[in-house]
Amino acid sequence: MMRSIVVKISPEGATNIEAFGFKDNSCLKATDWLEKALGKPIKRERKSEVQQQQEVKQQ
Amino acid sequence: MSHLTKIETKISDIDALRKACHEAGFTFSEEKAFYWYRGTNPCDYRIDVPGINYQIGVIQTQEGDYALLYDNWNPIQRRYTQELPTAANKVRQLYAVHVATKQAQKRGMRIQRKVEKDGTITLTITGARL
Repeated sequence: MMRSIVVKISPEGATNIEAFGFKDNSCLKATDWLEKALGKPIKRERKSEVQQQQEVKQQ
Repeated sequence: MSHLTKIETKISDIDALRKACHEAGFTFSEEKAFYWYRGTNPCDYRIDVPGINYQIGVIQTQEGDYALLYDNWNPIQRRYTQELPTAANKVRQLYAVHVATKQAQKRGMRIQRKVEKDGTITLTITGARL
């Protein structure tokens, strides 16, 4: 799976950042710059590669 | 392993805020006062929304970021309306879009923008530097 960052911003302004295609903790570094630029992280959820593949199939 | 992060958006990039207002069709200015139910209050920047008497004040907080101050009382209709809160949310949404786009472009990444049916804006960022 190609590495990507998906940012979803709701009409109310709520922002979620999700990293796809990373197999280790490098995903945290990959989104760090974006999190800092946008504001303050208030919740972080770790996801396994299996979970991600299931989500991609559902889309 | 990967992750999902929920972000509390903090407004700190005035250039991105200006672009967000422009895209929304609002007027962003360096006026130092805005009008709301308490009368005229000082602010650092001001946002005027077409057709609405009251304005949105942009005020720097002690932490250094900017807060949007507004009132949902409509003085013409003499009732509470959602026009200014909705406008402020639109500004917050487009601000996040412009900040993310600017930062990704600065890093030479590609960005795809899509508006979902529910109004959510999805940005997909890819590139060799990820």
